[in-house]
Amino acid sequence: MAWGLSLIYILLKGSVVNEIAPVFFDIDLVVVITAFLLMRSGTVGAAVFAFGQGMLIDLLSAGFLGLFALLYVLSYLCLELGARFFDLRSVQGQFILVGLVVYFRELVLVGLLDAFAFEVVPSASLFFWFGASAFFTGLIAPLIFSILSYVQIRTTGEIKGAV
Amino acid sequence: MKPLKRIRAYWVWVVFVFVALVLISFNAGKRRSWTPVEQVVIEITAPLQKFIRTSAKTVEGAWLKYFGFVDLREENTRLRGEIDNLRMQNDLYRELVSTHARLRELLQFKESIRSPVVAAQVIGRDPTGWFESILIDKGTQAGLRLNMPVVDARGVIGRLVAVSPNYAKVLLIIDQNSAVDCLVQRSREKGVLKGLPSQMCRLHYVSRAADVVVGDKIVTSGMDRIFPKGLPVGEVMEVADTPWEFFKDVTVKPSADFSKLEEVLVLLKEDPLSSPSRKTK
Repeated sequence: MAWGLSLIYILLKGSVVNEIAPVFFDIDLVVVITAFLLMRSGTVGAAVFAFGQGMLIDLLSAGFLGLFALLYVLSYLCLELGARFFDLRSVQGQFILVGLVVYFRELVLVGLLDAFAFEVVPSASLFFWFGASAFFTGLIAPLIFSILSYVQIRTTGEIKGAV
Repeated sequence: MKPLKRIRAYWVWVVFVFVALVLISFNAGKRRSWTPVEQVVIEITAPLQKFIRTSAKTVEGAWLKYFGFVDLREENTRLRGEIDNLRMQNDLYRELVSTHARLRELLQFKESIRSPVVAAQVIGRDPTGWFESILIDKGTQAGLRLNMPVVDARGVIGRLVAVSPNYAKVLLIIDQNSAVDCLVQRSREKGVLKGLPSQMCRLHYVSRAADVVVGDKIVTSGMDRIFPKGLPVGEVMEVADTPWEFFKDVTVKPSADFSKLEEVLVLLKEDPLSSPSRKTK
């Protein structure tokens, strides 16, 4: 379910979202789902998901292979570390931690792009859009958590019922 | 038990970071096509992307139509129905006319090019927003190979950087990793065109003595052996001549409108970067 949802979102970004949204505004569903998987499925499931989705983005984009895989694995680590300070089971914890990790991810991406001689002009508007991305991703995180939890409970119930 | 779990968590992280770093190290600065495993992933995901794009366009059309009808609420049902029908027919007609015009332009362009071409539809764009590439619905089965030039009726679009049996990825000339050897059409001054962050390009290595003015047309030089000579690339928008710089700062507006790419042409020519003659030289 998580993989499917994230895959559809990535494809949607390549088809529609990036055409209508401002260039640097990026609601990052991959980080939200990684946080959810970290809370529900444990470290391995979340890490594999983060790496796999990063690789998929790398395949579809013109960037360097491994760039987004590295970014999302680093995001996963931040979630893992941040979960010791913020409770991922609470709405506030989800909002703050996911928002912070998305902002961190954007900053690391700029750093990595700069390291690979990619021209990025640091400007106030760039950091504003990073902040907006982090804020709105944090804002939708509790909603996505609720939807995924609901689907997971229903699916588990159905499986139990079938057995 | 808890410390053991914590150690395992870190090992997972270390392994994935290591794998990602190895991948970046091997691929940074190189352009390689998709591996067989990656091709399988693309062959599975690309049809889904095509479906999503088509659905999105349909929803967009319906949404726009809805807004078009809001003002007509007070009119009687018969007229509304009639307008609805006429509008739908009109939309269909306009879409056909616009498609016809685009395809006619493409056809005229195709006739002006000597090499055989394959027309392809754009099914997706770069999902990151940081890089500039598109996914097209033709691959090796249609004769496409790496580094083939991609154009539209207005000029150069980019080149193929990855191909699978039914799909291919095009690196656009507005991407910062792209480089096209070009000429100023009027003065024959040379330069290398690279992408800028703002859907514009910069012509690099144009000497300070070079004769370049705003409005000059930029065409491909053919020197990179990827793009045939004389294809339109863009127009000079700005020329800055800084005293302490070796080269002029030439900003170029690409001929093609990259925000409205729907159909493109791939020029079928051998990959010059893998030809044996090049290797022996």
